Amino acid sequence: MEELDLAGLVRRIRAGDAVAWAALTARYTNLLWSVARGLGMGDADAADAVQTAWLRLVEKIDDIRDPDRLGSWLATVVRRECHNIRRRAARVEPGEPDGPDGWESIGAVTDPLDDRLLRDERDAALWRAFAGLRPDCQRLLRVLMADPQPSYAEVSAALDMAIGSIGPTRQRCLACLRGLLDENLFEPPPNAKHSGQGARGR
Amino acid sequence: MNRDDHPESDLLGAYRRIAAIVDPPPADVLAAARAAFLTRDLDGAIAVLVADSRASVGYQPVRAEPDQAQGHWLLTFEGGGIRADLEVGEDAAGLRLLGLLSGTAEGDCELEQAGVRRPVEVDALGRFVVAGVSHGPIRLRCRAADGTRVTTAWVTI
Repeated sequence: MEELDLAGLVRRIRAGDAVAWAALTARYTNLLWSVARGLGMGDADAADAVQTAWLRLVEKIDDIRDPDRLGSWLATVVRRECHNIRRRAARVEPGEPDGPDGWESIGAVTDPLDDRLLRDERDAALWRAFAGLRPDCQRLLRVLMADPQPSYAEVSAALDMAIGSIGPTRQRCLACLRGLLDENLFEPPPNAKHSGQGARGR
Repeated sequence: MNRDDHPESDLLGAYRRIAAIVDPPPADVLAAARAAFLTRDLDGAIAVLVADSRASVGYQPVRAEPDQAQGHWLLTFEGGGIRADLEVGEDAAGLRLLGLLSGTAEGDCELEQAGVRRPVEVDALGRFVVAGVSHGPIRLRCRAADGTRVTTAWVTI
């Protein structure tokens, strides 16, 4: 994917150019959706979180100082909104999850994911293996699956994670994933939290 | 084409392709993102969120017997010469907003959500109730006493 000229887009958007706005949303909506999914949001909540980020940006477009960090800014808004949305159902401490676990204390992200749409059995096996990963790995990898591929700065903003730890964590998570795949390529992962998930609809 | 040169990139690339099939952003999310531009308001002032009982700013968190089913919370916006206090509650019909406005001109206030604006009936003391509101981003659009149009910042309820 060629890099967008974000500064140019922001200039055009400020001048009222809806085409530039559409280009921006086309570039980042997939990332924002991936972040909301990575953080375990269902369809409606993920849609709200993503929409809120875009509405906020419309509101703040004249105040954006560093257009190159727009993706990170949007990802941060979505992360915070996801947490706000989560709190409207459950009573938890104010503020973002903190302490040693942070977002780690939030459950796995596989619930909304479904392999029914995958015709290729190998793809379905890959997806089931993903569901067997630890929640922190699922979160990170789901965000890294965003298309176009996010920068580490964007991932860092999306998951409130140090940039330096993304590479090593990603390597560790992909290694786990390979382990799961080698272990049992065509069976649902044995200790998956949602063990029925992979088999649904089959 | 891909700036990712890690050896695992093939595997991640396969997952990116699968995610595009299994869990892409729905078309209505993409359409809503494009439509968000229509909410751009060039001349209105913005009343920003100054307190949110869900966050650790502004209010002491309400810890006394919160009812999970009710899940109400308080939001305060200030700016453009107005102040808007909102209490969000939930009942069988959906969300209910109890509001208190100050600094606004009489009448001429509306609630905006998903591209729809509905008039809000504000009484002489600046109070209003809106029932049956759906979850999602909302904002209020009012007129300050001096005639300036003021919108609150978006907030997802």
